[in-house]
Amino acid sequence: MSKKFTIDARLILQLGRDSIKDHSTALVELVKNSFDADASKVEVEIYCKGDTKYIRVADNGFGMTETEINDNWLRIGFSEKRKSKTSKKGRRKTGEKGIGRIASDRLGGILVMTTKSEEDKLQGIQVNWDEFDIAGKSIEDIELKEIESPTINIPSREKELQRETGTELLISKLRNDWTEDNIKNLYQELSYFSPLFNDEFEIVIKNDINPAYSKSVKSAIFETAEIELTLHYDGIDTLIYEFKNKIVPSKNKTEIIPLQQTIQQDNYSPLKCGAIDLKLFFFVRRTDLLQGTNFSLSELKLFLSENYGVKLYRDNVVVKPYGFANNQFGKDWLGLDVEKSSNPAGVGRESYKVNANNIVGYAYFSRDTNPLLIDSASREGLVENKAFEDLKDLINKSITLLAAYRVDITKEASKNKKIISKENSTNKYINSLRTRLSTVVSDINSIKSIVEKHKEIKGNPLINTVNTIEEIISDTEKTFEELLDEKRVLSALATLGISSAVFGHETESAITTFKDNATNARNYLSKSTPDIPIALEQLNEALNQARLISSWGVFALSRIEKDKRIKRNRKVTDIIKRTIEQIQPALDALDIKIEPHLENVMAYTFAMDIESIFLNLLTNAFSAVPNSERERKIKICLDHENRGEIKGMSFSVADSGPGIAPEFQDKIWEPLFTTKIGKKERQSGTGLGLTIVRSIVTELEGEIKLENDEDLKGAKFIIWLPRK
Amino acid sequence: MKNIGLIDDKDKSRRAFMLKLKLKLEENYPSWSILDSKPLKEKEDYKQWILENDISILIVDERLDEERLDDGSYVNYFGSDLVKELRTYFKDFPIYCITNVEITEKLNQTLHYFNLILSRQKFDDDIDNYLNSFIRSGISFYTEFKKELSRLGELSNIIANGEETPENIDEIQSLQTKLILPHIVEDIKSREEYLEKLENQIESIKSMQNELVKLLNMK
Repeated sequence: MSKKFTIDARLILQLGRDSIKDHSTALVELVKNSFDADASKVEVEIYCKGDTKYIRVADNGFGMTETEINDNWLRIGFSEKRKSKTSKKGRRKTGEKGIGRIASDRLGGILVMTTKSEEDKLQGIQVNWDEFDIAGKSIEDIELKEIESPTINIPSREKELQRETGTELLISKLRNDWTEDNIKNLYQELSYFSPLFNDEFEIVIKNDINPAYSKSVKSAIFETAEIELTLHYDGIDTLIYEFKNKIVPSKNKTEIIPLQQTIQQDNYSPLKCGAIDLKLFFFVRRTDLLQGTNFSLSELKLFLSENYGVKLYRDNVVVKPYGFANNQFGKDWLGLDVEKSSNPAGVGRESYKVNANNIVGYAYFSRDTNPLLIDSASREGLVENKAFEDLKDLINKSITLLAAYRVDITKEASKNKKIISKENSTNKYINSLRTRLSTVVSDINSIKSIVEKHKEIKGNPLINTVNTIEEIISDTEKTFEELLDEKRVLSALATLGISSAVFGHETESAITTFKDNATNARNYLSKSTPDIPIALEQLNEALNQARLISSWGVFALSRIEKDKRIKRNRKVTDIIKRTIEQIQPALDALDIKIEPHLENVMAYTFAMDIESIFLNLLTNAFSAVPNSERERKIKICLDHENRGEIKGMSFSVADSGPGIAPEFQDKIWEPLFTTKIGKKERQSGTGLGLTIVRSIVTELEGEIKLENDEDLKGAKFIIWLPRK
Repeated sequence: MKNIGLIDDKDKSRRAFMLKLKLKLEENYPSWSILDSKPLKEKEDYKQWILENDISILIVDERLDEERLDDGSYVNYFGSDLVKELRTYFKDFPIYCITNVEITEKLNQTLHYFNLILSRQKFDDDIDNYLNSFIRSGISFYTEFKKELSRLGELSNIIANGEETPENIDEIQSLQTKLILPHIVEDIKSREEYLEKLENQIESIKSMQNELVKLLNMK
C-alpha cells in the first residue's frame, strides 16, 4: 500500500496567519493582487459600526475565468507571479508567495469572491474559513460553495471608460475591531505601496471608523521631497506661497505677494491664465532624506525618472504633453535644463538653478475659471497664447523662488554646521594684511635701531636679515598694487565684454544693413535701366550705418586706455557724458531716451573705475527698459554729497524697466545671479555686472543701494563715493 | 498668392533687405514679389494679413520689439513667439527666421515650428540657394492651397445645388478649418434658408439706401 501525506485544513489558516502579521497587512496583500491584475482602480471599504460589518475590496482588473479559479486561485501556494514577473500590461508584479487569498482569513470568517473576465461569465464563490479551523479536518473534506446568481460591482474611474471586468471580495464575520489608528496605518501602508504608479493605479479607501482617511490614497513618496512649494494664485492680484523643507524646518514660511508689486507696470493687469494652484516638489537623490520611510534610493530614482516635470491638470484631467518625461516637447517644456546648462552654478551660489529632473509638480486649473487656456486645434497641448505664456512664466518664477529658497536653507544649514563663509571682500582682506604688515615693519624698524646701537653684539647678520624683510614687505606691497591695477583692468575688460554682448547687437545690425545698402547701391545701378534714386538712397544710408559702426569702434578702443588707470583729478561729469555719447547709437536704435541731470563734479579717482561702474549700470538699464511697456527712459544724476568730514559725490542710474522684485534684491549682487525669468532673451545676462560694480565701490570705500524709482517706476541704483 | 512677407521692426535694415530680395526675385522669380512690414500690433493680426496679402512665404526676424510701431508703442513678442501662434492656424505654411542676433537657446527651442532658422550672415553667404529653397516651399504651399480652394469651390457648388452628402459637409468643414474660413454650412442648413437670409440682407440694404436718400434730400 502506497503511503502519502494528507493535509489538515487548519494548516492553510496557519500558513496565512504566520505569513501575515496583522489585518492591515492582510488588506494590503489583497490590494497588491488588484495591482497585479492590471486594475486602474481598487476600492477598499471597511465598515464596522453598523449592523452589517464588512470589508470590501473591489477592482477593475482582468478578473478570472472558471478554469483560472480552479487551477490557480484554489491552489494554495500557486503563484502566477512566479511564471511571469510582469502583468499583461507590463506592471512589475508585487507578490510571489501565492497566499494573497488566504490573507482574507485574517480579516473575516467568510469570503465571497465574485469575478468577471473577458473570456468567461461572471463567477461567484463563497469560502467559510471557520470550516478550516476544525482539528483533524482534511482539506479535501471542505466543499466551497458556488454562488448561483452572483452580482458584481466593478469600480469605475473618472474620465475612463467603464471596464466590464474585475474582481470583488466581500469579507464578513470580521475578526478584528478596526480602530482609528488601524485605518491611519492602513492608509500609510498603502501610500508607500502606491508611489510609482500614482497616475495609473488609484486606491480609494472608504470607512466609517476614521472619516479623515475616507479618500484616495496619496503617494507617500512626496514626503521624501526636500522642499515643497505650494502656490495659490487667485487670478487677480494675490500670490500665496507656502514653503516647507526638510533641512531647516524653522525656515518654513508663508508669503503673500501682491502680483502688482512683482510686475511693477503702469498698465498692470491680472495674469491672463486665470486662477492657478501649483504644487512643486524638489527631490534630491539622497538616502538620508529617505530615512523613516519604506523607500529605497533606487525606488526614488525610478520614480523621478518616470515622473519628473510639471504636469498640467484641467478639471483634474491631465493635459498632455506637459511634464511627460517620455515626450520630446513635454519633458522640459519650461526650459529648466536649458537654464541650468547656461548657468550650472551649485546650490552654494546665489545664481543656482534647479535641474528639470529634480522637480515634480502639478498645476491645477479649470475650464470655467481659466477660459483663455484653450486646446490647440492642430497639435496636442494648449494654444501658446498670452494666457499660456503667463502660466509658463508663473510656474517658472515659482521655480526660481524655489531655487532661491533652497540656496537660503542650504546657507542656513551651513551656518549651523559652522562653516566659515567668505564674507570679507578682497579689498578688506588686503587692507587688513597691509595693517598687519605695517605693524611688522614698525616692529622690525625698532629692532633695527636697537641692533644698530649695539653693533658690538654680532649685529651685522641681523641687520641684513631685517633689511631683507623690509625689501620683501616692499615687494609684497608693490604686488598688491599691481594686483589691484590688474583687477581694475580685468573689471574694465569684463565690463567691455558685457556691454559688447548687449550693445554689440546694434553694431552687428548696422554692419549687415551697411552691407545690404552697399550691395543694393551697386546692383540697382547695374540694372539694364539703372534705378538711380534707389541707388542714391542706399548710398546715403550706407554712410549713416558706417558712422554707427565707427562710433562703436571708438567706444571699444577707448575703454582701457592707460591714462584711465592713473589716479588723478578727474571731471566725473565729463567721463559720464563721454560714455553716454559713445553708446548713443545703441540707445537710439532702441528708442531709449536719456535724461541727464549732471552737476560739475571733480574727484581724485581712476577714470576706469568710474566708467566701469557707470557702464555696467547703464548696460543693465539698457537691457531692462524694453521689458516694460512704459516709455523707454534712463535717468542719470550726478551731484556733490558730503558725509560729515568726507567730501563725496552721489550718482544714480534709474530706468523705466520692470524693476527688480523684492525677493531678488539681496541676490543681484552675487556673481552669476541674473533676474531673467521670463520669455525675453534680452534679459539674459552674465550676472557679473553688479558684482563688478559692488567690488569697485567697496574698493573705493563707497556705498551702493537699490531703490525703486518713483518717477520712472523701474530700478534705481544709487552710488556714493568719496571724492579723494 | 505669390508673395513673400518680410517682418522686421527696424525700418532701415528691413528696407535694405527688402530691396536686396526684390532685385533677386525680379531676376530669377519674376512671378513673385515681396511685401515688407513692421511687426503687427498683435500676434493674432497676422492671420488676416497673410490671407489678405496672398503671402505664401514668411520671413521674420527674432527681435521685433526694438523700434516703435507707428502708434508709438512696441510689440510684446519675438519671432519665436509669433511662429508658435501662426502654427496653430497654418500647419504647412513656410516660415523662416533670419536674424542678426546670435541664435539663442530660446530661439532654437522653437526650431520645430520654423522651416529654418538662419543667421543673416549664413543667408547672405548662400543667398541664391536659400532663396530657391524658400520659393520651392512657397510653390508647394501655394499649389496645395489652390487645390484646396478649387475643391472648396466644387463642394460649394454641390451644396448650393442641394446635392450634398454628409461626407461633403464634413469635407467642406475640414477645408474651411484648414483654409481658416468661417463655417457657413454650420449656420445655413438649406438653400431656402440661404436665400431667405440673402433676401433679408437685401431688404436691410434697401432700407438703408432709402434712409440715405431721405437724408440727402433734406440737405
